[in-house]
Amino acid sequence: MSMKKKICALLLAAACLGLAACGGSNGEDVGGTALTIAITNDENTLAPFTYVSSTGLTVNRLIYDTLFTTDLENNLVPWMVEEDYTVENSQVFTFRLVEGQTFHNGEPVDAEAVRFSFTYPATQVNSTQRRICNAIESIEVLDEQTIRFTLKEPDVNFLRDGFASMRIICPSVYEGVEDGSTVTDSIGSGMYRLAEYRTGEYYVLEAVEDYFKGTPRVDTIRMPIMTDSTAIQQAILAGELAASTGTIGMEMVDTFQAQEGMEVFANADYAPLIVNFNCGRHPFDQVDFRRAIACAVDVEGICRTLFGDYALPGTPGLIRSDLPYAADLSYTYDPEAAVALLEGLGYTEVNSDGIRLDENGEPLSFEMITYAGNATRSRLCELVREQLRQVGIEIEILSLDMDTADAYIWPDFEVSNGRDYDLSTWGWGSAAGNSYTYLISLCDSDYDVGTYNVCGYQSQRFDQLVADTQVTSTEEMEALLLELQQVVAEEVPLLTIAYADTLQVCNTNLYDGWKAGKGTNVVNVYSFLGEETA
Amino acid sequence: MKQKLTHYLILLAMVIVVNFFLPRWMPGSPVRTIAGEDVGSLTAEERMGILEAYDLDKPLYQQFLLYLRDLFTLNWGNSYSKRQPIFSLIGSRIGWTVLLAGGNLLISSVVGSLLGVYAAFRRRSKGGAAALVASAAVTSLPPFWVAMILLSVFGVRLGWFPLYGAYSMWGGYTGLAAVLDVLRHLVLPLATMVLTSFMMFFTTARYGALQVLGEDYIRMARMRGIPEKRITRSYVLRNTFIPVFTMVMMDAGYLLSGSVLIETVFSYPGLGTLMQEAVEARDYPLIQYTFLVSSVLTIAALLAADLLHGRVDPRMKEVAELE
Repeated sequence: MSMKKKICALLLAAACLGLAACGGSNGEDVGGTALTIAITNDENTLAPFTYVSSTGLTVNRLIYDTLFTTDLENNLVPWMVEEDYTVENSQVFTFRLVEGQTFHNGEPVDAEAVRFSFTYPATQVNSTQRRICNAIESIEVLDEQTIRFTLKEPDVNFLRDGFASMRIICPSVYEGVEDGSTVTDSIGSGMYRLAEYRTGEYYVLEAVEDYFKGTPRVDTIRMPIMTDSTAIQQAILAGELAASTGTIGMEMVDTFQAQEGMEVFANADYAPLIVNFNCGRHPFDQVDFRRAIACAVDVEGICRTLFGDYALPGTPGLIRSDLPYAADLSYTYDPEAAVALLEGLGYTEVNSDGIRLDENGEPLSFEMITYAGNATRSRLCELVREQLRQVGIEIEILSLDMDTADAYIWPDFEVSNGRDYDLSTWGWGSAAGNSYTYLISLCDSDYDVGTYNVCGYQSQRFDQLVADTQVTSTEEMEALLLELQQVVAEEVPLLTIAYADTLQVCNTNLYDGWKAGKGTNVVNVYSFLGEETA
Repeated sequence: MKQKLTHYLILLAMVIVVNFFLPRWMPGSPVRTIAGEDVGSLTAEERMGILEAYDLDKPLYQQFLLYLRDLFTLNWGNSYSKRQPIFSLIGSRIGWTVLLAGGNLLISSVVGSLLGVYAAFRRRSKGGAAALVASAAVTSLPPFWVAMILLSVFGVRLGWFPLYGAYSMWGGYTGLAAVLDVLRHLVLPLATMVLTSFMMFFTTARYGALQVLGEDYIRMARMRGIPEKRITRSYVLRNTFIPVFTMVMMDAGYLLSGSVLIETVFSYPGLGTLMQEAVEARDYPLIQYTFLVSSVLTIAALLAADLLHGRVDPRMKEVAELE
């Protein structure tokens, strides 16, 4: 190598090392306690009318309070209101606000602000908030701190679905604003205020020192927007991140647990993993055919294969089995019974591939739609295909991007628009699976009630039970749900495969206050509440 | 030239039309993005109200006319998913992408071409063969894998370079420190892109140089006793770089959209990820305008290549004159 080349090489190496030496981490300390937590999606200003996904909903709960919330055991507890609230007939709710609450701009949180928070969203496009507003008949402000809500109909779920969901917003920020999504000031009354947001880059949240439940334990939460899960995991390992709003796969649990200072939290989740049948399409319109599939699929085995110990297997009652109103039901893996049911339907002949033929001599061959890029669901499809083949049913897997798949399964997100699929993998959010109304939304064939009925399931027994029962208390609702579970267990509108835990990894060297809870993310209010309050 | 300009104008018009219809022909609907996760709970009237508010209930031709009006009045409106003006969204991202993808184009074309020429001159030596094999091996690695290896080694293990972002988000650097900070963040994503993309310049330059080296005029120049250095510089390199130049100009067109994967892995706030997010959200206006900007840049690059070709390769000028 000539001297010139050697000098060039040395200069290049020096430049690289010089750049590397300029600092290793992603910034300098700002003083006080600061945590860096990756957020897996750009959720705009995190305001109630701008967030995009459930990730935004999780994080904006730190900025916006709700009248009620769930504790780490998934029990509903008052948050902004005193414990001596009254509920009449699941229809009239009277609350007194806890004293001393203020918005981040210093304005007081009073009954008028609460009333505004439950009326303004009715004019906006956000579906969750509209749904809540639509259920309310009237709101009376009794005094500065006391408010009364009257629903159009009794709703035993409204404390959770309504009062624990609706974010309390600052009237002066939104008054006179036609489109709430244009408001970029994210001002709530939660334990953190949004100090900075750079689109596509990061958020900075600062603790509200005089928060009514005590000063949060962490002064500053920095949230870089990172979408790649592998990069996030590397950054957590490197100590650049303390945690993330995202999850890890079961296969990564041992790797992280072997690392000093890493803790994996497994939070029970209420989001079901489902195999849908198109109940309006032959032969899925026959109850015995759906039963045959339920017998041929080893739900518990698949659940263990996909999630190990980090999931609860689904049940034919479709409700998570540890909920207090879950019926004692379980799937029975019995391929012989499946064969008997198929033969009972007349599907006795098989072709040279071992696939049964239908009444027209066509093979029982179906497409199963799943989301491309979702490894768990793809594996689920493969396992179902393998097991159904054993009883003479052929499955062709169709991997589509999410919107394309949804266009077949749930066209325009309106179940009355019909559907165009044979089988599909599917899932609902945690809030849905944790709701009293989940089963009814999923299975009622009156599509104004059965808004989640993407299977097109029709059952007179089910509809009749729902129509005939006047529910005004949780006891009545639970009794109804027990009966409804028996119906769906017999008629099998779909298969619930599992309720998988949310697995999250946190760096406990950087922060040891993480609190995991049922149905929550580790990025929750309890993880940052002052020690005494928590 | 007039004819060429007409061709490019027709191409631009086609791009404008396709950019409108393509997202709308895709299956799916932006309603979920607009209305949020409980979209299923909306009544048909509420859903229709949303469509009306965003002009999505109008016949396609009317939507197209509105799109043309907004396009030419530069009133590009707000993104459905980002709830922000599209102009500022694109503006905030484009610089980072130009830095990353432009840096890659510059480095990979220079490194690839020089290595290619080196390999051509040393085609019968071990060095030339090694350069060819090593280049092919490195470039055939999947970009995601290369990114992860670099991230893991230089970011996590050695801690030399940051793992995410385009700059230290809460570093507060200014002046030279800020420039160095940006460069530090650029090293790993840029290295990934260069490693996985310089091969096309390498092969183009190598085969170009091999072809030139076999030409009669090179033999004649040597016979005339022209010094080897001058032959290399004035005869070989100049002719070798003509196809490389064409390739650089073609690649410049893909500048804005070609780095989606790298931007995602390194959480680099570029335009590629914005385009990807727009498609996933069926965010029609954002899809339209991000793709339009990218397409316009491609057309501009092609036009520039056409204009500059005559200067780089005088033979092209003669062809043009003959035409």
